[in-house]
Order: sequence, then structure tokens, then C-alpha cells
Amino acid sequence: MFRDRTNLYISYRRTYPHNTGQFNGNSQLDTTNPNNRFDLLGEEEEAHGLIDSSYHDEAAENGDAIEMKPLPPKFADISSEIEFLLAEIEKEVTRLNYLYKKNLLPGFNDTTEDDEKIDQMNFVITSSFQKVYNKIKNIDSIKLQYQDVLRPEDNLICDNLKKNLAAKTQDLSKKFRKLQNNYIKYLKQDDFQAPQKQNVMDEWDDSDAVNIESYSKQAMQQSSALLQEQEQTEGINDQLIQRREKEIYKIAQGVVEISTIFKELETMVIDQGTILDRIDYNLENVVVDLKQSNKELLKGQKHQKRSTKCKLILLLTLVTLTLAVIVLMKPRRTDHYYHDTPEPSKDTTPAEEPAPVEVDEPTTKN
Amino acid sequence: MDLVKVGQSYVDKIVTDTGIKVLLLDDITSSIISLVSTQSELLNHQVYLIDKLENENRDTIKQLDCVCFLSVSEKTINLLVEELGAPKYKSYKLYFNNVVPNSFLERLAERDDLEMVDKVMELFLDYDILNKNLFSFKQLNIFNSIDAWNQQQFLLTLASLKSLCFSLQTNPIIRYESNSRMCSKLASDLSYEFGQSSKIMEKFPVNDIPPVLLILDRKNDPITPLLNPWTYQSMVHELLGIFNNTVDLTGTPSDLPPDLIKLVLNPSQDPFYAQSLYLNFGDLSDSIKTYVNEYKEKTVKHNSNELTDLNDMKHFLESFPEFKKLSNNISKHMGLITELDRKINENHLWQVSELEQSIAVNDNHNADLQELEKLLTSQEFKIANNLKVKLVCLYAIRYELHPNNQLPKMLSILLQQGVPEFEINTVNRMLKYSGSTKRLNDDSESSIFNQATNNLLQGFKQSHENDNIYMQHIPRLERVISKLVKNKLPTAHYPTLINDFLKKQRPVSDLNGARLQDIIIFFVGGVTYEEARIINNFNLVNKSTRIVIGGTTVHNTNSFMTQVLELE
Repeated sequence: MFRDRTNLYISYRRTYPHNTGQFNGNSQLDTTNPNNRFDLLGEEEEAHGLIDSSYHDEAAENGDAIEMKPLPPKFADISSEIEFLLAEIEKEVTRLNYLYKKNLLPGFNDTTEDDEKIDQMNFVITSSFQKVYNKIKNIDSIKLQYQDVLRPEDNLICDNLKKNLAAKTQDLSKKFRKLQNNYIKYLKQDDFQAPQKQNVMDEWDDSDAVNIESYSKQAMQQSSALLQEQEQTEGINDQLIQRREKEIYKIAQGVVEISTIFKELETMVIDQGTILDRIDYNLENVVVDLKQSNKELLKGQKHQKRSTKCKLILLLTLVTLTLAVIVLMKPRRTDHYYHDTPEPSKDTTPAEEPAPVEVDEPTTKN
Repeated sequence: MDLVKVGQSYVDKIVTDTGIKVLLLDDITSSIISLVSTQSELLNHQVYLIDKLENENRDTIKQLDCVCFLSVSEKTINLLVEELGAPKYKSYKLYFNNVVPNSFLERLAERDDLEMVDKVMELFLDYDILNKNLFSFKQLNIFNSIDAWNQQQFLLTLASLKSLCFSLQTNPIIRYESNSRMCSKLASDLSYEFGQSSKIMEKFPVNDIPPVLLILDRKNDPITPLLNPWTYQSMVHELLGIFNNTVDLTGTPSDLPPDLIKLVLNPSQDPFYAQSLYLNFGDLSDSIKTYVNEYKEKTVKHNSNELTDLNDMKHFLESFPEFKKLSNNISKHMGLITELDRKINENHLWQVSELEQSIAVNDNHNADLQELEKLLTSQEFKIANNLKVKLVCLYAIRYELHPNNQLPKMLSILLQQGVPEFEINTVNRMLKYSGSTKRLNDDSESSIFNQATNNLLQGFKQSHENDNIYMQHIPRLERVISKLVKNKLPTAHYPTLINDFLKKQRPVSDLNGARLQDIIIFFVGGVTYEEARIINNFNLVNKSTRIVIGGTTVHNTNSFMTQVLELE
């Protein structure tokens, strides 16, 4: 049960005189409260700064400078791109499913054409997954690129976007892998050499096989072994078997590839059912995070200031040192000529004095 | 009347609009929404930024639409007026969690010069949904003095209870316990408010049998919150504390990995928990054992080369993502149960609980007294102070009118044992709050000292666990409901209020004998998880009746004793 109060609200809004504006929000200032007005003005100007900067986009893209970019739309682009890709994959997967079903039915037709299609579709889907994965990973690098411009909010949006897309991709890849494994299973099941193969399988004792691709890997190894076997023994040169084994190999390879993507994505998605999935917990943590990041920023600033100071000091000391060396070298030469006179000591002291004057020069240049 | 579904439908309403958006919450609504939705669910609806209205350091993001889910209070309206004066987002959709006074809307409209607001809606979700039939208002200091409301808390309770009834689309007949001024005040004010809300209520479906809201006072059954419960959810709350469906295990001696320190216990997101939250400790152990075995079976197969079995393989591939979830879930519950077990042994709860039950159920003064004295002074079992005080409280309530009452002696034993005086005060406060003269004296049958045996009430078809000596006591609520459902609660003790609108809508006929369908039970002074369990059992057995229960808060023994102690 709910109640819509929009109409009431709008009628209230109409009854109040608003100096609604010509072009921008500046006219909306509440003139009755001077304090408020200036507050607002400040904020408005700030907002303008952001909007204006968006006009410099092209300049930024040309690499002239890293300007303030309106980030959310950019991420929105990536997001819609990925969502589009995912939708495409989903379509392909359903088509593939249809083909598989058709192939599963017993028939006398030659399935070579279909097999080729399946091959092709598998390839397309796998590469699409790869693309999606790369795009998702790319979000991070974009984030890094615009590190200086991104506000904490933008960072948060990016992270959330990534999590959501990762979860969606995972769901879809799960579906796809299920489909593929079912098909492999079908291909294997009518394998008349199955009992023989069983033994081969037992020999591979993969201790950490608790993962998704283990079956496909085994299938791959098996098929390649079988293929080799066939090449060696000329007697069995059944083309059909060979083709099917190749097929299994290919599909299994695809599954393994996608499984790797799946595992990589695993680190990005939220563990559902844990505290990390709680809204209020995240809200609190954001506040803490923001505070911490602020502190770190300040620290970083201090460090940076300090490091520039350090550099300056280093430079100055270097300059003084070299000057001192030069000054020291000169009198030595004169030493040879006026060996017995006490003059040199007098020579050195005035020579050292101008040094600080020279030292000042680089600082002013800086 | 499934509260979880109600809550989820509201969340859906908030986030359905397409496009990337910001969700603004406030302190109150953020905890409400956390109970019915999750971060990933919101992400799925393209809510990529969640923030609080109170957060002043929010940046301007003019490209994004903003959806607000806010509570109705002076504070949030002020903040919102400020926000609309200097908008940070592209547009605003406002969802309030209760009825918004027109004056608030006017203030917002006055400030909304830029016409930023597209939508204003009232969703009635001003309460916490804990289980599918348990709600809470999370209020602790509702008392001004004994049996008198703190005015501010009263208004909050009134508003929340109103939102609850609206969200369930009910215009209920209100019944309350006649001996409680708090109940009667709440009931009459609520009834008046309902009479004024005809505009909202006229859209509600009209049932043949009108729904009933029963308002009870905790003081009429102080026994239930004092006893140590032995079912999963209740035990976790009693021994570890559940706050907003999360448990914090910080400071427990067992070294848990960091991701198992703060746990979420939400039956709608955790199938194992949903299955076992009402199980008693013994059944729970069995249940977790089979759960672990299931997991073992699944993983061991995939660990070895048994992978060759294609059917297994297929199953594994399909359920692989579930595996990580499953192992997380198992370690969560294992951690909890281990912790419970540790607490039970540490506090000698087996012994304590046996005595508790005996005091609560049997009328055997001398034996109970002996046993009580033994436990209080025992060197063998070192029992914590609060447990000792609790036992004496039970004794005081149970044998208040017994001619041979030895309460002064017990109190002096407590002092001797080094229990601080202010803690001992709880016993006297308890008697003041809920002594025999304070409790509703309806009939002897409805006494709070009920035993499970010969207590096969109509409506509770399953027999109670008579053989379980730790669960002999049956909360008073069970009797009250079994009468209420048959509409046989005496009006002398449970007056009936029918609001003006309901009277106008239809002639309320004589309902005697009719079986009630929709019932809302509300405990002033706090409900317990045990009572929620009873309601759940009742709903399971009686398909035609749907009951939800809630209270100003959900008590465990400690929170109840603190509440009583703080009474002036």
C-alpha cells in the first residue's frame, strides 16, 4: 500500500511564486535570506565550474591536459556498451542452445554444417566474453588515469558499476558453461570407447581439481590423446570420431577460457549473504573510508611539499658544494705560484662569501 | 501478511526506474532498507551510489537522477529543504516511509524553485522487518515512569504502528489489555487516527471478518523474557545479541577469521538459517551436522578423481558458484554454534535453565528454594551476577504471594555473594513493574506459570516438547491467541475499540464465534523471539489465520532487566 502525493505537491508548488529562471539556476536565489543567498551563490559557481569544464573535453582528449571530465556519463557509456555486449552474448547463447537441441535429436542429416556453425558461435561467444572482461578490467585503468580528477563519489560509482557488471557477466558465463558441459557430456556419452577412456582418466590424478574447468581440461587432454593415438595407429582412421574429438576439444577449450574469466571476476563481485552486502554497513564504511582517504590525501600533500622542499635543499647544497670546490680549486693553483706568502688564506675567505649570492639565483628561478 | 514481501515490494517501487541513479537515505531508513534488501540487489537496479542525506560532504553530480527514501521528521524535512535549495543531482524522486503532513509538503514545494522534484510518494515502511512475521520499532526508553509513556517515544510508536497497519492494508479493530494505561492510551489514539485516515483506508480491501490489532503489555508476562531460550534465533539473541539482523562476535576468545566477526542473520538471504531458526539446540546440532556432511559429500567427490562420473560432474559444474557461498555459510553457522556452546558451558546454562524452568512451571516452593540457594552459593558452578539476579527475579515473581516467601533472605545472599547493590535493585523494580497486583488478573487459567503438559490448546495441534525439561514453560501469549482467534477474549479484560471509519464502512455485526483471519499483535515494552516462534508455529498449523507480531523492541534477558532497572 502506498499513496501518491505528487499532484498535491505540484499544486502546492504552483501556488508559490517562484522566480524561475531564464537560463540557469542563478535566478532561483532566495532573496529574503542574504546569508543563504551567498552560500548558494558559492555553490552555484562551483557547479558552474564543473559544467564549464565539460566543454573542454576535446582539449582533454587531445591530451593537452587532464581536465575535469564529467565522469559518470563516460562510465555510463562503458556500462551500456558492456550491457549491450552481454545482451548479444545472451542472444547467441540461446541460439546455440537451439542448435544443440537440434543436434541432440537423432537424425540422418549431415550435421557438418551445423557443427561449423556451432564452432563459429562458440568462438564468437568466447571472444565476446573476453571483450567484456577486458572492458570491465579497463574500468580500473580509467579510474587510475583520472585519479586526480575523480571525487570519492565517482570512485564509488565506478566500483559499484564494476561489481554489478562483474556479477552479471558471471551469471551469464555460468549459464554458458552449463550449456557447453551438457553438450560435451552428450558427445561423450555416445562414445563407444568410453570404458577404455575411463582408465585413461583415472591415471590423471589432479589433486586440486576442485574447479570448474577440471572436467573440460580432462576432456581436452583426453581428446588430444585420442587424436594422437589415432594418428599413430593407422588402422582406426575414422573421420567421424576424429571430428567429434576435435569438437570436444574446442568446446572444452572455450569452457576453460571462460572459467578463468569467471575466477578473475570472482574477486570483483560482492559475496552475497555476508556483511559486505549490507547497505548500512557499506554506508558506514564509506564514511570511514572517506575520512581515511582524506587523511591520506593530506598526508600525501605534506609529503609532496616536504619532498619539494627536500629537493630544493639538496639542490642548494649541491650548488654550494660545487661552488666551494671551484673556489677551493682556484687558490690551489695560485698556491703554486705564491708558495710562501700568507695571502691565499685571505683569498679564500672573500671567495667563499659570494657563494650564497649565487646560490640564491636558482631559487628565484624556480 | 508476509512482512518480508511487503518490504521488498516497497524497495522495488523505489528502484524500478531505469537508468543510473543515486539513492539518498537517512539514519532511520538506511537500517530499515538494509533489512529487506542488499547492496547487490540495489546494484542490479543500477543504484550505483548510496549516500545519506545527513552527509554534508556529498559532491554535486548533475548527471544523475536521485531517489530519496526518507523518514518523516522535522530534521529530514529541514535537510531536504536545504537540498532542494541547492540541488546536487539532476532530479529528485521523494519516497517517504510514513504519512507526510501537508505542512511539510508545502515547505518543500515553496523551496523547489527549480522544479527538481518529479514524484512524491508515501510508502508505509516505518518499522524494522526482522522475520517474515516479526517486526520491531527499535525503541528502548519508552517509559516516563512505570506504566506511563515517554511522550516523544509514544508519538514514534503511534506513527510506526499506523504505518504498519497501512502497509498491510488493514483497518483493524483494536483490542488491548485493560490493566495497562500505556496500552489503552496507544489504542485510543490509534483508533482516533484511523478514524481520521479514511482517505487512505477507503482503498483497502474489505474483509468479511475485520482484522484485529491486539495491544499487549510486557508487564503481564515478565517470565518469558527472563527464561533462557533454547531455539536458534532466540539463543543467538540471548547469548550474543542480534542487532538489526546482524551479530557482532568481536571480543570472543575463539580466533575467528575477520570475515566471520560481523555476521548477517537474515532468513530471507540465508536458506540454512531460514530452515533452522526455530530449531532447538539438539535439533540444530543435527541439522548443522547434515549440512556439513552434505557439503563434504559434494566437495570430496570433486576433490578426488571421482570426477569421472559424468552426472556428478555435471551437477558440480552447475552448482560451482554455490560452493563458495555454501562454505562461507557453513563456517558462519559453525562459528555461531560453537560460540553458543561455549557460552552455555561457561555460564552453566544447563543447570541454570533447569532451575528456571522448575521455578516457572512447578509449584514446589521448598524444592525450588533449596535449589536456588544451592546455585547462588555454589562454589562448583561460578554463575555470573546477572544470572543470579535473574534467578532471584524469577523466584520473586513466582512466589510473591507464597506464605513462606524467603525473598529477603535471597537478596541478602546476593549481597554476600558480592553482587552490586544497584543490580540487586532489579528484583524490587521487577516486582513494582510486574508484581501480582500489576498483572492482568483475568482468570486463573491464563496464569503465566504455564506448563506444557496438559496444555494442548485448540489451534496448537502439534504437541509441545513435554519431554524437554528445558522448554517446559509456555509463554502466556499462546493462551491469549488461542482465545483471540476464536474471538473469546473477555471484553472486560480486553476492551474493543472500533474506529469511526470502520463503523461507517460497515455495520460491525456480532462476531462471536467467527474465526479471525488477520491479526497483528503488538507488545508495548518489547517482544521476544520465543513469542515470534510461537506465532510462526501457529501460522504453520492454522492456514486460515495469519498473524504478525512485534513490539517496541525485541528483548533478551539482559535488555529486559536493564529496561526494568531503568524504570523510576
